[in-house]
Amino acid sequence: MNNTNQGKQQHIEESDEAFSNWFFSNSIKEIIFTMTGMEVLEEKVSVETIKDLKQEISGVIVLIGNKRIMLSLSMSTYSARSLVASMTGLKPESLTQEDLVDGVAELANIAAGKVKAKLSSNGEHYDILLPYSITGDNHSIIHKNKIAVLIRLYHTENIAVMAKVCLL
Amino acid sequence: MEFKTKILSVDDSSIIRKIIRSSVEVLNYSLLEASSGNEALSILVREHESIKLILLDWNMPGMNGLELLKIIKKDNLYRNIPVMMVTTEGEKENIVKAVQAGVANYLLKPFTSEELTKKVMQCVGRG
Repeated sequence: MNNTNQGKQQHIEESDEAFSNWFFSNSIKEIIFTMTGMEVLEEKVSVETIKDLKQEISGVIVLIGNKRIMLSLSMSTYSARSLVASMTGLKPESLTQEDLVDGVAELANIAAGKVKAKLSSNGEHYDILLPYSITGDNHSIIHKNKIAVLIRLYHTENIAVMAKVCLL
Repeated sequence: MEFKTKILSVDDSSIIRKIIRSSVEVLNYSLLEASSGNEALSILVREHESIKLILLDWNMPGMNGLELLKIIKKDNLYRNIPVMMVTTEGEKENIVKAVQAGVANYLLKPFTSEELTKKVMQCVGRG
C-alpha cells in the first residue's frame, strides 16, 4: 500500500467527533429533516445503553472505496411509520409493511449519497451499492470486526432511529 | 380530474415514486411508474407520445439510470422527451456524464416537494 492510500485509510478510521460529525452525523440529520421535516435530536450512545431500543426495520447500505463502510438505520415499526408518513405526506395507517421497508431502505440510500458526496469533496471516491432491508422483532446487526465509527440515536418525542456506521 | 399529459418516474423505490406522484399531480400531470429500466422501456413503447418528461433514478438493480438514458437518447421515438435525473449521485463527474448523455435537468436526493415541482416546471411547465 502506498503512503497516500495509507493516509486515506487512517483518515477514514478516525473516530473523533469532528470526523464523525462531518461525514456521517450531519448527513443523517440533514436527510431526516429534508425528507420528513422532523428536527431530530442527536445522542451519542453505545450498543449497551440502547439495548432496549426496539429494532424492527433496518435499512442497510454499503459504500466501497478505499474502505468498505456499512451504514445502517434501525428503528421500530412505529418510528418507521411516522417517518415514511412524513416523507410521503400519506396517512400513517395507509402505509403497508412494504412501504415502511422500502422507505427505511431509501432513507439509508439517501444518507449514503450524502456521505459519498462529502467523502468526494475530501478527495475520496466511493461507490454505493444498492440498499437492502432487514426486518424482524428486535433483530440486531453484529459486525465481526467490531469497528464502529459511529453509533448515534436520532430522536424526537415520538420516534427514535439508531444509526450505525461500521468499517467492514 | 382530467390529466392532460404524463410524466414517467423510473425508480426502484416505491416510496420515492409515491413522493413524486403527490408532487406532479399538483401540477396536473398524471404519473406513470416504472421500478426498473426494462419496465420503463416497455412503458415507453406504449406511451411515448403522451409522455412529456422522464424522471430517472441512477442506482437501480439491473440497468442503471445512465444506461437507460443512453438508450432513450439513441432512439428516434424517445430522444426528444426531456429526462431529469432524480438521484443521490451528486459527484461532479457523474453529473457531467449525465449531461453528456443528454439529461435536461438534475435533482439530488434528498429533495423537498417544492424543489421537485420547481424543477419539473423548469422542464415542462404545468400539465
